[in-house]
Amino acid sequence: MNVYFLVEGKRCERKLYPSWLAYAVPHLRRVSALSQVVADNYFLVSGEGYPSILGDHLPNAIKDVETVGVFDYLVVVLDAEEQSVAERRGEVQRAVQRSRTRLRSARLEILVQNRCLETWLLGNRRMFVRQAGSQELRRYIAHYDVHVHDPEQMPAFQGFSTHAQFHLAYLKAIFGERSMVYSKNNPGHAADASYFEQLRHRVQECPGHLATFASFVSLCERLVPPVRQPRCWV
Amino acid sequence: MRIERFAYHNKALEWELCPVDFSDLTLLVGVSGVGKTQILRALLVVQSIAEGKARNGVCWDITFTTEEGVRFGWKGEYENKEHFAEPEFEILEEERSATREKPKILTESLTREGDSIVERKQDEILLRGKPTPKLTPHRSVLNLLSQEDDVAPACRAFRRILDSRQEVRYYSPMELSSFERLLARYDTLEKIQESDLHTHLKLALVYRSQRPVFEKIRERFIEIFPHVTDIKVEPRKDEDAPYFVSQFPIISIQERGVSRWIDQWRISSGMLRTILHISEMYLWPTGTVILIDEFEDSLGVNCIGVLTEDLLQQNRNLQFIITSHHPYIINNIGPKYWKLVRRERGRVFTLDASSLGLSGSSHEAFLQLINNDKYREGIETK
Repeated sequence: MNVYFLVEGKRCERKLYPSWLAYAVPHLRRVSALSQVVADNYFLVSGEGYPSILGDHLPNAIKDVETVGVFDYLVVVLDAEEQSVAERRGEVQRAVQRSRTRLRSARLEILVQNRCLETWLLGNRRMFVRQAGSQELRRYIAHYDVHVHDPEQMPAFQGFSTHAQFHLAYLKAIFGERSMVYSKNNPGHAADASYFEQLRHRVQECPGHLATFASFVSLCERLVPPVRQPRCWV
Repeated sequence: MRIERFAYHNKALEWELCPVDFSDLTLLVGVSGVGKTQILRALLVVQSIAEGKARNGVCWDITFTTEEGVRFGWKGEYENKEHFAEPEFEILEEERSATREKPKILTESLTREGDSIVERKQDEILLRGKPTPKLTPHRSVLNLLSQEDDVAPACRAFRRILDSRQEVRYYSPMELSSFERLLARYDTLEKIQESDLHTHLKLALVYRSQRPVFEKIRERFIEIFPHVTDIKVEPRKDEDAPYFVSQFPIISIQERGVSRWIDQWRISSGMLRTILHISEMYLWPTGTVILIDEFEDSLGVNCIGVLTEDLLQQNRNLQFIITSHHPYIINNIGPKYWKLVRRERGRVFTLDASSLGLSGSSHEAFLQLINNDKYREGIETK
């Protein structure tokens, strides 16, 4: 099975996804050139936050997928930001329809991070600090306790122009509380398998929480080949 | 001059550039901090050595071809004096010579088409195998022997390296009488091109004496900025302007629907850079090496494309070595001209795009570049 990932990317996706995939789908190996795609490989292109994932990068990705012809999935990863998940999905579907090259040989998977990657990362209960030392974090928790409530449903916070900016600040405050640093360039502990495992645990523990992260977990499960039953010779 | 290959080592700063090959257009790409700007600065340091300046701890090795097609190899090494301040920190050149001993050249050699012209070791200089009289150890042979027939073309070649950013920053008022003297001295386009004058001054001279060339520059500028109706390079006539300003020709533009001329202090920095870049194309002689750091700086979408085209299509045998982070520039100049700059501690080296293992995908070149690990992990400090 081969997978083509196109991530909108504001720097951290290209670090987190390969780390998480190495843990969740270990048989899938990353390649850096399309010519290296053979079997059980994935190729990841990040838009690095430069605009036009839908205008330019997606049509180019479809072209790649059809030219190479051996991909099973084209996975488009992007943030919901201020839109709903349905709206973002609709945008991607319309962009795929607009593309001059038809997507025929691979299945499209749209993975919307609601609202952004940091929103998912807020779901790690092990990282959460109930008795926050910093006033900043106490204010955030008073506004919305991500330990109890679903981070994807967190309302905006005064003083931040977007949800994503607030979620990043909240996450940084949590990391700071543990004397750790999170940045988009260096996600640190968030890239570890144990972090991914904690998020997966949250999804199992609290059904309905981190619904878009759950879609990613579900995709990973589909990418894992079924275990072959040993044949019994009588 | 065409710089073919360049290697450099500043022992005092522990900064080394491994040999890099340049083509007619070289676009240095790489993440911030890898040393793109330092490569341009190193070329300017070597130019200053050719002009007779002493540069502490510097080793250089440069291969270049002159306008006449003669290939030279020039290399040398300065001693490394401890705690010797960089010239940038000295206010006056005389201060240095008055108070401290300049660094000495330890070795130096100049070859012409592979034949040895000058060999220098410590205090001995051999010119075509014969010892010269004792000469100062602080200055390069390119400067000391600049009148020798075999050395002169190499020495002249270094006058053809232009630091474009300095040209944009330049402004030096002068008396009108001095300007008139320049006008009399540089009375042909060739003389203006061959002079070492700043681009701004050259533009002022062609405005007065070489109108057909000025018209070409003007037309090209108005093509990019159609709302501009005219450019002039004249002293300001305002009575309230300070004396020195009122005497020196300054660049002014007139815009459609605006009666008052806009002088160079109020022209947008992108527009001013555009005027000067266009002027460089016309007012520097063939064979000039033009160094442009952060080519995109101040340039809007309305001029960045045209100026990039000009770089690719120039036919005046100019050599450009530029740096950029801009997607438009990197995409349009294309991988063929890229040199990816990487750094391992103080050691800088470059890679051709062909050795990057770009993904071979349909994505634009810039996106492939920024997704490449060799680009992203351009600084190795372990």
